[in-house]
Amino acid sequence: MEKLIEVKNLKKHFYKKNFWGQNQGVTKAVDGVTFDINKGETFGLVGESGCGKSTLGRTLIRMYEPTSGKIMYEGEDIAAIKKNKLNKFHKKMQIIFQDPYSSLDPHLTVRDIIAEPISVYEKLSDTEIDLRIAELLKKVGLKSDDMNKYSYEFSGGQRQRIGIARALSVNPQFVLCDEPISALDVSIQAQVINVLEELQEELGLTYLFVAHDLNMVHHISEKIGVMYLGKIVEIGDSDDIYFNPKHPYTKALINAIPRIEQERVLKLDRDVIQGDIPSPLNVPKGCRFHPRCPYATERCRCEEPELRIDADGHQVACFEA
Amino acid sequence: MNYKKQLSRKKRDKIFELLLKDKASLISVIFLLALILVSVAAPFLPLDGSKTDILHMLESPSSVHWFGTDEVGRDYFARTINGGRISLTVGILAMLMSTVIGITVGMLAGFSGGIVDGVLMRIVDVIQSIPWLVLVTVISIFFKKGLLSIIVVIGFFSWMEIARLVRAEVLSLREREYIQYASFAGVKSFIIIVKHLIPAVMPTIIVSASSGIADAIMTESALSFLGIGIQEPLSSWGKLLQTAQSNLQNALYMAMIPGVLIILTIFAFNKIGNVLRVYWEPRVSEV
Repeated sequence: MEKLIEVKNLKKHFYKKNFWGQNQGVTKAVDGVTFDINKGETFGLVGESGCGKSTLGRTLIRMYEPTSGKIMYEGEDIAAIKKNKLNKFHKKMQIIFQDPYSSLDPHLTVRDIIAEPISVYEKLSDTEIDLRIAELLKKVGLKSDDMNKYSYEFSGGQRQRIGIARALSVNPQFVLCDEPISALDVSIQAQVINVLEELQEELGLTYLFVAHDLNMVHHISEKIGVMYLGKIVEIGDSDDIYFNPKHPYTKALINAIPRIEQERVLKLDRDVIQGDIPSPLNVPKGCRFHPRCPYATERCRCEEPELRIDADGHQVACFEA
Repeated sequence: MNYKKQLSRKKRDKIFELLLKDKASLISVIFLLALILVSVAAPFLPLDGSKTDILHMLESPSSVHWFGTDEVGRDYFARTINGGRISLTVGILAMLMSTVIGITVGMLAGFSGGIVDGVLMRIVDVIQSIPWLVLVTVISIFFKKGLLSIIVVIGFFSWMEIARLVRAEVLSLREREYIQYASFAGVKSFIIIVKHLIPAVMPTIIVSASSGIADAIMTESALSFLGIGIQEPLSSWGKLLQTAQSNLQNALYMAMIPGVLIILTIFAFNKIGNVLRVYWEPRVSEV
């Protein structure tokens, strides 16, 4: 399969500076991440809140400035491109946000919201823009008359559809779905997921789907990456990760999914993981997961495991797996 | 275009609806319109506020002199109308000036952040830390006395509040995802400011501007009282109030008339400011 995006050792650190500009501390939100996204497929990224998955996504599309590393988009390193030359990539890479309320300007009509990116990248007349927007709105399951309304006249799910229409208005190849369903009701989540899947099929889109709901990610993704404290600890095919997780953290995540059928619960030798994710300001030495890992050994405390790839392409960063 | 027509009709309907629902706002609009009309028409009316008449000093309101006469027998009605012209001019122009400066500085500081923000806000701190009246007194010594210099002095030294308010709002707006998306999509900063930020801070600006008019009218009165404001034979409501002080015992109307007019005008501006704010806020529909 053809690779669309190759991320190589990408880092995004946030520096806390004092009045004189000296560093007071560094938050390693994304700390050396390497993975590929194939054309036309959905890559699911899961992890706890605060593990850096949204930051990784946003750094990938250059919404945030990467600290170091490479982002190869169709063979071109977009991490090295100057900010004012990024326009042609931002036309290809779009984003759908988590919060359907703060992501749409309440003072603009739906038409003006969707027309915003179009007017940056293309020179179209008002009528042409209207036609395109009417078509987009139909595609995401809204009526073309809706373009005269303000975003606050819609429900959360409908607003999310407007957000999708805005992202698709410039015909992108790649869409970062930054937890697009976690702010919605469960019944609406399924609808939005269906819209995303239909559009992917119709337009051949590639998604990076960031979420913390493993069930949903398993459903929509071909591949899944599990992130913990700024690093990816496991990458593999969706079914492989879901039914045959190797990293203790992934196992714990899957074990934490509430289920109706008890027998499907994976047999974990020990309890569910305890405690909270450590602060990315102060990353534990050795394996990042060792303070919470029920299997941690002496080696885990001093040495950091790298991602190892096994025969069927499943990658794990754990000594014990 | 059809959809734009629909939109503007929607907006027009909203402002009428707001005014009809709240009678006080409707009366305020009518009062201010009348006041502005009279002020604009004043030079063409048969009013002479400068003719003195020592035989008819401090006369109470009558059919000849509607508002009575002042301490040198001038027609108080004419003086009030002419004073209103000046008070309104000072209030509105000084407010416009301070609002424009305030928005510009606040936007620049909030939107650029970093060093620009630091420098601009320190300048605001410095200007605000000097006692206002001392500053204005010293400055106005260097200006030629007159209407224009009063407007400039008031406008130039009352924008700090608006700048602070706008900056604070912009700082929080900058973190909203629709602003982040716009800058991600490559929308130019100027367009982001005009299209997203100004409409969002508009309610704050409207409220602060409508009280700014009141402040400017009051400040002008204070300056006139100190003798660095409006000079004779011109009058303003503030000036009339000050001269009325020495005759409070035998001509109470001289203080009452401009005083009540100032109160009504300020109230009307605040009311209208409130209506405009509600009109602007997308989700609020009650005054």
